[in-house]
Amino acid sequence: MSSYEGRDRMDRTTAEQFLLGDPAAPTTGHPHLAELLVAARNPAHHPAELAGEAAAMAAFTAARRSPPSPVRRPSMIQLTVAKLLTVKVAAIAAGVAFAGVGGVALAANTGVLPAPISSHLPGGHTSAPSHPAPSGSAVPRPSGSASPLDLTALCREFDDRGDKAHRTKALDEQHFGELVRQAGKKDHDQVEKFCHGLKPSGSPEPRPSGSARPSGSAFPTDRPSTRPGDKPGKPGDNTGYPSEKPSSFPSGSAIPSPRSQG
Amino acid sequence: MLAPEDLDATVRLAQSGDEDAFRRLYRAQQPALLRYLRVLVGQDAEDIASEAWLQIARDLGTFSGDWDGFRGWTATVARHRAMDSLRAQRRRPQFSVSPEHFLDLIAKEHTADLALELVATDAAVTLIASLPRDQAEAVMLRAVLGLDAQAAGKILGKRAGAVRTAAYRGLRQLARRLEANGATGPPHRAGLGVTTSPAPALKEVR
Repeated sequence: MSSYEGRDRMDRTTAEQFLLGDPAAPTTGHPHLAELLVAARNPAHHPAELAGEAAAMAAFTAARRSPPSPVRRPSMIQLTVAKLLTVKVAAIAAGVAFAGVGGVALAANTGVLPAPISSHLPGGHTSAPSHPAPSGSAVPRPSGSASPLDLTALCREFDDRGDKAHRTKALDEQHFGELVRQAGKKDHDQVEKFCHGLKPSGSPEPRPSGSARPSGSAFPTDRPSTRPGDKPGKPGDNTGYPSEKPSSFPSGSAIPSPRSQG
Repeated sequence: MLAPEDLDATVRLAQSGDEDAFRRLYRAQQPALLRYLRVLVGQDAEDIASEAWLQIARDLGTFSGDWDGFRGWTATVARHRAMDSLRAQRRRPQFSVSPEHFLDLIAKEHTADLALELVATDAAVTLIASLPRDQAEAVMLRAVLGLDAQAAGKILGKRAGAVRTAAYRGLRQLARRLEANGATGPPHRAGLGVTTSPAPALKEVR
C-alpha cells in the first residue's frame, strides 16, 4: 500500500478538493478516500433505485391537473366563515378607494390587528368571527401578488425560515409582501401573531388509507402528511430547518405502489 | 448525463407541466437522494424517498429556481420526511460495515462489473453513514448531492462554516478508518459479504 504517514495531515483545502471530486486532490496519506467518494457518487445506479418512478410520475400528473397551490382542503366551518367574510369584506372593500386597505380591514376586523389601525377604516365596526378562515375565495385580493388562499402556506414558509433573525429578514422579501400586508405591519411579532390567528381549527384532512391513487383531485390523495411546516419554502432561501416539529409519521403503507401508471 | 444548463431548462419545462422533463429530473436526482436518505434512515430510505417525491410533484409549482436550487429543495423535502420518520422511531439506525469490505470490493472492481461497482457504492454510502450524523450528512450533501457549503448549510440549519467543519471531520475519520485497514492491504477474500455485518443501509441488491 502507499505510504500513509501523512494520513492525519489532511487540511481543509484538501478536504474541499475531495468533496468537490477534484481529481487533483492529493491522495498521499489517504489513497482510498477518493475511491470511497467516487463510489458514493457513482452516477450509475441500480434499476431498483428508480423503483418509485411510476408513483412519482402519477403524482406529477395528478398535480398538473389541479391548482398548483398546495393548500389543504378547507373544512365546512372554514367555508362557512369564509362566506360570511365575503359579504362583510365585500361591503368594506366597496367603500374603500384604496384597495390595499381591504386586506388590512379584514385583519383588523378579525381582531388580529391592534385597534388604532381599524379606526382608520370605514365600516370597522362590523363584527366578524374571531377566527379568520384561511380558505375560500372570500378575501379580496388587494394586489394580486398572492392569493389569500396562500396565507396559511406563506405562514408555514415564514415559520420554516428558522430563527427570529432569519424570519425578520424574510419579511423584506417580495415573496412575503402579501403576508406583511395582511398582517398590517412589517414586523416579526406582528406577522407571527397574525399567522397564529390563521391556524386552522380543523384537523388535517383525513387521509384515505391504502394505496390511494392520485385521481385528478386537488392533490395526490394520499398526501404524506398535512403537518405544519410540511410545505417546503423556496429552496434558495429556505434557511434553517425546523427539526423539532412534533409530528406523527405516516406509515409507509400509504405510499402508492409503483405500479406503472401515468 | 445531462449538463447542468440543460437541467436548468428541464426544471423550467417540468414546472410548465412537461412530464418527460419531470421524469428526467427524477432520474437525475433520485439515486443521490436515495443514498442521502440511506445515511439518515437506512432501510426506510425508499419509502421516505417515495413520500418526498409525492410532495415534490405536488409542490413543484411553488418552487422557483434552477437545477442547483432544485437539488437543494428536493434534499430539503427528503430530509423533512426523514426527520419525521426518525422522530417516530426515536433513533437513527446503526450502521456497521467494515472498511475491509469496501476495500475488498474496490480491489475487485477492476473486473468492471457494474453490479460489483454498485455494491461498492452501497458499501461506500454505508461507511459514510457510520459517521456521526452531522458529519455523514455534511459529506453526503456536499460530495454526493453536489451542494456547496452554503446550500448544505441551509438544509441543515447551520452556517456554511459549520458544514465545512463537519464534512472535514467526516473525511478525516473516513480516511483514518480506511487507511488503518489499507495499511495492511485489503483482504482478498472470496465471497462478498463475508467481512460485513448486515448493515441496515446495505440493502440487498436486487
